[in-house]
Amino acid sequence: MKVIEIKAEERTDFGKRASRRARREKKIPAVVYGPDTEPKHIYISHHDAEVLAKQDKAFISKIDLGDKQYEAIVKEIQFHPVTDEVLHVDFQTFVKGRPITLEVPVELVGTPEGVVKGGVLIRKLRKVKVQVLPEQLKESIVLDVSGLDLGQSLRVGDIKMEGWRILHRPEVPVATVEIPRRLLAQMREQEESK
Amino acid sequence: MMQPRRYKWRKQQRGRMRGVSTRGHTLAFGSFGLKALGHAWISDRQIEAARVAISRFLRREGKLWIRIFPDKPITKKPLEVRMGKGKGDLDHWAAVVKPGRILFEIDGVSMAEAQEAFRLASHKLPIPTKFVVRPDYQEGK
Repeated sequence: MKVIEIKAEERTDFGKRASRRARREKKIPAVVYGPDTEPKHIYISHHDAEVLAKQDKAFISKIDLGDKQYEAIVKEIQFHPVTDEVLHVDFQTFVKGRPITLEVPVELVGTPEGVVKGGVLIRKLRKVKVQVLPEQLKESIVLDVSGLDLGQSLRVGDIKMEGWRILHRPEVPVATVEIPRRLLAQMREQEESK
Repeated sequence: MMQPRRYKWRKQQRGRMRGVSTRGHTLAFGSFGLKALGHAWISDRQIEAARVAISRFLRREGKLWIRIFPDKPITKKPLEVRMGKGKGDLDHWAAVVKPGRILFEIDGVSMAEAQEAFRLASHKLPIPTKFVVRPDYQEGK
């Protein structure tokens, strides 16, 4: 499991005025909360916030607040609607033995049969919301798509992870091999000529 | 061209466009998007022109999502008509767009191809736009 270490400083001034001033100084407001943890308002560096936002796998953050250390997951990252800069980060601490809810990226491996025949692999779900014990958490859910033929889909119900509770409905598609219109027209012509 | 299948009221007041987009400002489907940087009523014709520009460039490769819908009726008075005598007739439909709104999304093509497709599409739109990529995007994945 990937661990990202973050240096933080305690936040004592609140509100939009203080937060805007901090963002101008390249400090991003954040909060740490969770079971058995008093909510703590902190600042993290702009660089660290960008690093967190760019991760393509699940990870654990180790927050160093000088006198206190936290182990947490990133629960939410808020972005500015226009500039896409990170505005705020939510960290949620966890206790071993107690399940946490988070989104884990889906990694697709293999080349689907349908793609070899001319289809296009479309990803429908990039992250899956799961409930899992912290000690069983993995960086990503690896799914083999090599068996997918033209028009076939891999669904949430096909994900087999022991001890994991997946919070999407089982019929939700994760990846589909779509038939391009050009290929569909060719297939129809072939059928008609038969 | 896109337009509502049915509507409750034939004509609407113009309204105001203040602030930034509070919804529809993150990529929801594809890896690449075109983000609005200004306020505008984007007409059904402009959306269609941009869509055609993208699909012609991509030659039906990849997948395109249109994230705005022209649901605002725009009225217009006929030419050389004196003011008054009531509101004009329905002329076209438009989407109300504020800065931050994702207009189009693409997936299944390379970043360079998506960038060029959106550059061509942006020339059909009445506002400045920018190219956006999913924060966790990695080429070839």
